[in-house]
Amino acid sequence: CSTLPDGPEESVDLPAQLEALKAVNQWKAAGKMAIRQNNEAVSATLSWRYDQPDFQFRLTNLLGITLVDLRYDAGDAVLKADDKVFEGNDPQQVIAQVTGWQLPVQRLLDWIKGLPGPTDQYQLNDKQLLESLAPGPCKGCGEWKVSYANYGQVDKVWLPHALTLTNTQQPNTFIKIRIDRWTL
Amino acid sequence: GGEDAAKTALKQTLSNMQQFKADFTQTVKDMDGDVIHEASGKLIMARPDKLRWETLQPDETLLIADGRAVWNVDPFVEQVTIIDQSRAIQDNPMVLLTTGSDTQWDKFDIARKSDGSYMITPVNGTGQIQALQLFFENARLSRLIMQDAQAQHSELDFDNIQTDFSPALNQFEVTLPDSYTIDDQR
Repeated sequence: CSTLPDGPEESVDLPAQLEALKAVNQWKAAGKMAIRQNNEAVSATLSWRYDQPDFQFRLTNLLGITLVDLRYDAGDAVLKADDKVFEGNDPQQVIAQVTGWQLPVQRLLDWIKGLPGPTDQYQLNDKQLLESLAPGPCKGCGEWKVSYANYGQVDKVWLPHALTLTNTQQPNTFIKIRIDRWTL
Repeated sequence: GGEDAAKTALKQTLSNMQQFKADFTQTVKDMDGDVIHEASGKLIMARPDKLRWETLQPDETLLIADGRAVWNVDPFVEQVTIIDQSRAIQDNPMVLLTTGSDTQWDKFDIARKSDGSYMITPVNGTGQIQALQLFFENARLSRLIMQDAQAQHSELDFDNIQTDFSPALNQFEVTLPDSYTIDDQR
């Protein structure tokens, strides 16, 4: 299957790495996302484009057909799925409306890079990169724990190519993300 | 009318293609033409109603339609999802590649393009796939393009095309990996 990078040879300078991550405000992530809730799981191709503060998040099936499209543009969030359209000014609220899940999207835009927020707790791996993150308080943050793997260097900054958001309140419930290609 | 001629011609071309096997490269582009996904794999089809869609890059997934059910084997979540084929192919023009049934063909309009390709569109406009364009070279499927409601294009280009072979039936059978979750929705 796809070969993911397996991280730096030596430890990185964490403060410099975090500064570099903070400066990354435009990125594109292409890979796969899976959502499991007990014995029900769906997975799809992920295409996520961020251009601060706007983003376009799209899940596509094997045939190449859009399953979910979430666009946040100039303060307006529009989610399209199954020929239905949902709108609001907060993407997290629109996602909750459609899926029933509280997913802190704005925080996830940092978590996906491996960048912790000021109140997030985190553990480092042996190369001084984030191994796991326990979010600080926010609406929906308490429901998730994030774990990271397969860091790769992209334009001199280390980015995770695999992360999992484990739901802390529902058993065997997680979002698994594999990023085959980062583009900055 | 003109459309009937196109439908008749496509039906004839496809019925001559009792089986099809090829390597494919897939390129998915959004409405702005930006590439959002690339994949490669193998496609095998056999009439009636059998299809095997296997991706090798960027990862290995397997989709099999055996005529009764669609099996999606997904190592990323270690799950096999099984759904009734009738439900899975609802409104999906891809079904025309492996069936001569009028109940399916009547759901779609067929138009012949100036470049000789066929444009298949759902009569009542519902369904995820808004258009399926089929390209043939010396009567063999060489390329197809699916377009969805977000004007996203998924193009499959075929290579090593074979149409005269007898497909082994186990190509359309799934051995269930015992460590996988089975989500049988039939």
